[in-house]
Amino acid sequence: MTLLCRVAENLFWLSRYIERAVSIVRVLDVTAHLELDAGDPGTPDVDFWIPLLGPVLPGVAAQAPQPRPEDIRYFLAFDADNSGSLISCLRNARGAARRVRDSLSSEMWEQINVTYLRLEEPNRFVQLEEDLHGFSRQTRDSLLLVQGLSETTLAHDEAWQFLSLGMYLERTDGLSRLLERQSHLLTSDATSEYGYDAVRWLAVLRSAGSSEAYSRYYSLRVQPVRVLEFLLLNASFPQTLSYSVSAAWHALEAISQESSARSAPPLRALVRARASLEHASIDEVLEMGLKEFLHGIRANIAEASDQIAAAYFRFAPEGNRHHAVARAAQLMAAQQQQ
Amino acid sequence: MRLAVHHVNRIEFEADVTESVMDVRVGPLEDAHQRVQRFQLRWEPPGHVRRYQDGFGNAAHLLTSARTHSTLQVSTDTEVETLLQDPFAMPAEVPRPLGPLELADGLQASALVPALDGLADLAYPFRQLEPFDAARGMMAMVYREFEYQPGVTDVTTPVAEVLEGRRGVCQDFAHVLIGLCRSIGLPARYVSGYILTGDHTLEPSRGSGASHAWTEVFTPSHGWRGFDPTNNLVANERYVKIAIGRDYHDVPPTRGTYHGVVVGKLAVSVSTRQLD
Repeated sequence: MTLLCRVAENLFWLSRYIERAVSIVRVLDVTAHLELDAGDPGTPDVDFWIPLLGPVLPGVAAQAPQPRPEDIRYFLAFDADNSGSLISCLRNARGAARRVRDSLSSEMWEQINVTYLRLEEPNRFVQLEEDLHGFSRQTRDSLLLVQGLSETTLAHDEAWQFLSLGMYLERTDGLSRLLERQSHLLTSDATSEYGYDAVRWLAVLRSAGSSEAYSRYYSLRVQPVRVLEFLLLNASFPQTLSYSVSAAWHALEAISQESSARSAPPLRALVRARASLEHASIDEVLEMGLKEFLHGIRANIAEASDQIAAAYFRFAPEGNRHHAVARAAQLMAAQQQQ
Repeated sequence: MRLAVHHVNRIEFEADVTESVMDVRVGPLEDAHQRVQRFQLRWEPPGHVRRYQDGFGNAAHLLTSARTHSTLQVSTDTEVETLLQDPFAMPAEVPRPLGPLELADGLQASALVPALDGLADLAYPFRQLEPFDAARGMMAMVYREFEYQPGVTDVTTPVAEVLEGRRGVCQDFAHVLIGLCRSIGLPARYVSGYILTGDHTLEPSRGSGASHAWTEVFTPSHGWRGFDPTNNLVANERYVKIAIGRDYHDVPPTRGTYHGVVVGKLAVSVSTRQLD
């Protein structure tokens, strides 16, 4: 079966947005708990929330010199001007889903739609403030159901592989961002087992939805190095970097069997990321520097994304490459009835 | 009468294109006067096809192909049995009056047939006649007053220009007759189809090399009947109906889009023959 590049692109982004929304919801929930667990009268609440804004401080942060936690929560969840907010992600995911409605199952489309419409209800932000945990849980479950339905109600054909590819690439990207944000904890005195940092590292695990799985491997002792080892290198748990990269690679491989010549460049970029995760040990990573290591992975992922877009979403017909490809569709000649 | 039609639409592009999407209305209609016996659709390059029914009840197909290709061909083989031997005979049962939606489609100005003063003036003398006679009269007038001349108009020529120049092809004449009927309150619609030409006076002679078009008018006495201003004939068993709509815009045999920087040339061939 062949796939229109428009369809492939929308499927890819649909699942990237859903995955991104999941991670936003997790982070909201985890940070609220972190505030309860680790906050003390000496620590201002915003200390937990400000880092979530990442390196740039757009929107709320730019307006207010000292944003309040609820401002940040609004910015992350409901600010329509923030292209990375939960509501924007869902709006984009739903938009993409609508454009490829015929490639999705009814169940999956309805679930995306319901999730979005529920967020659009009036007073949703008030509800979030009143019961952040309940809100996060409901939204997260709703989003995970979308992913589950894509797994169970669609044929696992080429179109589906684009969903899978988008999800795992986004997960890789989100996870490496999360770890990069927390890498400063490594330089602090991170030895205390039940201390302040242990709580923070537990939060990191929970942000990645991995705390229970971690405890199966390493018991309940939350040690920064083990947490990193787990999230970076564990090959069998689906929320880790290693697993996500190789799952993305598998998806791309499956796609490339349908269209061999085009997929070589993005495959190469993913193979590099995959190799550096499969053959690394955590000591080497720390020696090299976590930031640098993650930076390398991120660069590979970014390259792979660009190459995927070039190979599949902006496909120029062979033998015609010297032309600029017309992006807009042309009208076929109409026939006169005589 | 049993008729077989072979219809080929072929688009040749100067270079490769990709992502063709084509909406075709080439499937035969089934109604009281026409039974479908065989229909086969073939298309190249290989792609995905989805059959659906449009808002007028026409059988339509959506063909999509993502592959690189430089030619695109859609061909059909259609066999129908037509039953309307005598279109002048009144039907056994009194035709059911049209509902509000059918009236709106039949009477309102449409995209390609606007309400023009020129049309209303031409139709004015026919307003007092029995509807069936009025439709016949206006058909004969279009046949008489307009010159059949392929090549002077194209698919985008507006009715006003045809009215001015008094020449065109079946598509233009069908539009003119629709406009005339509507202006005196007769519901009219556009029919896309094929004809079997012949030498007899009651057999159509023009419009066999491509798909043909004529007008259907609703009269309280006869119900929907086809009036072919190109041949000055009330449509009989030599007419094969493919699709109906408010005007050409609703029923083009093919239309579509593709990605590429080149222009495509369309070639159409239609051959109709009688079976048995």
